[in-house]
Amino acid sequence: MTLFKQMAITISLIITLLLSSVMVINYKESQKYIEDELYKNTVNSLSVLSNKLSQNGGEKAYIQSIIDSEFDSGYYKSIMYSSNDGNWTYGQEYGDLFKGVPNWFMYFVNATPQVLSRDVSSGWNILGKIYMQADPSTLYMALYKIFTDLVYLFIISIILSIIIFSIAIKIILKPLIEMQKQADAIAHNEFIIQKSIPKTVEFRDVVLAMNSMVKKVKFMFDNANRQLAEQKKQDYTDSVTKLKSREYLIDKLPHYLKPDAEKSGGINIIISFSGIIEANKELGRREVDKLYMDISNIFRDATKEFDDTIIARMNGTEFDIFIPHCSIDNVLDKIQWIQIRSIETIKEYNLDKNDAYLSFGIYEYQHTQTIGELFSMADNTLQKAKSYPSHIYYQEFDNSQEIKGKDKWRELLNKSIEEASFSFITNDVIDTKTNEQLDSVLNIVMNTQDKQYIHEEFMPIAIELGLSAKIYSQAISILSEDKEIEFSAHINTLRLPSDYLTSKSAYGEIKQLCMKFSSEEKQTLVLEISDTFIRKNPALVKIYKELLDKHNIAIGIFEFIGESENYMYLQEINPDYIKTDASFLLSQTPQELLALETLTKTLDISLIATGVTDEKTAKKLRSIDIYKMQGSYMSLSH
Amino acid sequence: MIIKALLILSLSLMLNAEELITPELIDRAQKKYDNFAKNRFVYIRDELLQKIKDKPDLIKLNFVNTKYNKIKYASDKKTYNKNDYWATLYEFVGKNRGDCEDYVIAKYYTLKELGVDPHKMKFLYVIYKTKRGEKQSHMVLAYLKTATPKSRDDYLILDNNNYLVLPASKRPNLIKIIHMINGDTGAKSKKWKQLEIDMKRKKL
Repeated sequence: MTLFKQMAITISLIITLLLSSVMVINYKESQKYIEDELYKNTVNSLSVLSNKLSQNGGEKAYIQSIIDSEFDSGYYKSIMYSSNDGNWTYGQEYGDLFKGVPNWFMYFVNATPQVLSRDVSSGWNILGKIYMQADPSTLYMALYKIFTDLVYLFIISIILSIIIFSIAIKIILKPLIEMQKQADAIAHNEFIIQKSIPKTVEFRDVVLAMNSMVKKVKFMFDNANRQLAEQKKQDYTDSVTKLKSREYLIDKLPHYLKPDAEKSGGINIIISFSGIIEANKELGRREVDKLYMDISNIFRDATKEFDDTIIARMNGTEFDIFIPHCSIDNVLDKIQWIQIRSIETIKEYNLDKNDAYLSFGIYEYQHTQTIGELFSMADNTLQKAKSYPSHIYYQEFDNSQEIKGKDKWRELLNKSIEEASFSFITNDVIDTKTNEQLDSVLNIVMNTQDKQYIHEEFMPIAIELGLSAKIYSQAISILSEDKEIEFSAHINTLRLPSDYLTSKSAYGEIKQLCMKFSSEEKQTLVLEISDTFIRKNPALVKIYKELLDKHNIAIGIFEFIGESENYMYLQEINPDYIKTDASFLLSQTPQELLALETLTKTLDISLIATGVTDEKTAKKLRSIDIYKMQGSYMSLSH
Repeated sequence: MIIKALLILSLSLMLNAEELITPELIDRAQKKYDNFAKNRFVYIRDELLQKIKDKPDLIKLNFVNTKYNKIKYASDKKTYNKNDYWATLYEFVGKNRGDCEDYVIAKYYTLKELGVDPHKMKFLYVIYKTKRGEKQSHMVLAYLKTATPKSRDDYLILDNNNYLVLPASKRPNLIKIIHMINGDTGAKSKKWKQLEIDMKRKKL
């Protein structure tokens, strides 16, 4: 409940209490006054009437006439006369009293005027007794009138008081609303400085303190952002050719060389530039650098049609073109084009094509290979390429078995999609400092008649066959609809691949999933999106972000290697955590790590190392203060 | 034409609302009582109120006194099962009976309707001596011949016990005036207020 509501309720209660008290006191006083007046009037009337009766010697006709005339002329409930010997009585009385006053009011008020009496005497002789009761309708009607007037006054007073107090509270608490906005912004890692400083001393101090804090955090964030961007730019960019560096390729390769990589394989081309030492002597360093630049541009032009291509300068004379999800048929003519264009360029620099030339070692990599295997194959093919007259060597991958297997996989996957035979297993994210489980990572499992396939077994081939989006579609529908799935009491996380996020059905299915989790109090969900996808699809990510925010579902980022020029997008996405490969973290300099740590801490983002497969890696990570880890080692050790 | 007709109709309705005896009342009287009751109201409307409306007050007093005195006397206990009840003119005529207050009330409202100044009429609580010498509490209607009466001669008495309207000085059986009240022109008691309400809604 907001402070405004609390104050409004409290003040309303106080006003109601005060006005009620005033009303009750007022009413009671009025009742007492009217009763007193009625009593006095009755006493007066009784006195006059007894005198009149005394003057007529107790004759019945006189008594009757006097009582009748008195009764008919005034406001009485009853006038009764009783002779002294008790043999004769006469009187007038109203049965039905009056109209216009509700019964419930009369029941609660119960203000019956007293029956007053007085002796009637003639000389020394007491003739009888006269009894008189004033008309209570006068009392009731007057009280009811006072009551209704007080009620109207009470209601009007309450409404006016509440309106006046609401306006007053709103004016007084206006700075607090601005402070609340600022606090919300801080909670969402937005750096808002409040310009209007409240005049209320307490509020002013808080706003100034908050502004100061925001400025400091913003400064730290900007600093870390700039440092990390600059260092990464330096580390990841070759200064001469502006191509990516060897470090970049090594940091990036784990995303492609893993069992559940989004692309199951592709082409890796290692290129060696021979005759550079001679060229340096002939042309000089500056001209050779220009030559490198021209050759680099040829690489860029040749590969611009391929998505996610990495062109890296590995050392002084070697380059690597890494093209995921691509076959040899698509690149061979490109390589020939590069070779022709490079020969022309070399000629332009008056170098002999027999002394200065490029050699191309090409092979099809598989996502299951390690980085070591990839570089080993690169060396082999390049050695062979250098010895070949054409300077091009292609290492063909024997995929005959795989082609046979693909048809079976397609059949199996389609059947599973059709029958929605998927379930989930979980891996743990552990905080190794406290040895506590943080998250449960949901991994899709495919259940066939004969066997249960884990994510790493079927997902790469599914990606290659273009079925991954359909599998995720089914799996997310199962998550949304199947009530028998038992979710972890921890945070459940689910990785959403790029193929799925761009599919037509994804938004609706994710919405269903969000609705399910937002209605569950005990279960929380974090949906993970890759860093590359977030940076390359800002418009689509914004739509998903709005959807998730609406249902209080958090975002996690995976495959982060800090290759952006600006990390403001982290502030906009406001993820719960960033997951990055353990090898990436271990390859960072202390300065880079510090910048990354500052960046994430200022935005309250956790840093989680993935791919932790052994104790040695875990130990190394702990030595650089990375404690949150995910990987096969964590599942085994926990 | 239509507007003119509507105006006449509205005026007629307004006038009807002011009338002492209305057709609606006559219908109700017929339904509640009988044709005789209806005829009595028709008579008051068409004969009593029409024939003498332009006559002097004395003729009006006599005519009204005589006509209403033809209605039978009955106590409130017998008629209404109450010790004392002020009936409206309509209840009195409808039931065709009433006690002394009912005669006085009926005569008062009829004379008022005939144009007699209500300030000249008083309700008198008197002690009435019967032929057998018995003293009774009684009520009569008095008509003040002058604005400032000084003697019994200045009062004309309309009494249900007497068909003649006589000065009080000619009524030795009214041995004492106990109390004198105005009709609806002075301070109104509870009974008067109730009577006015009942008269206004033409309580039958």
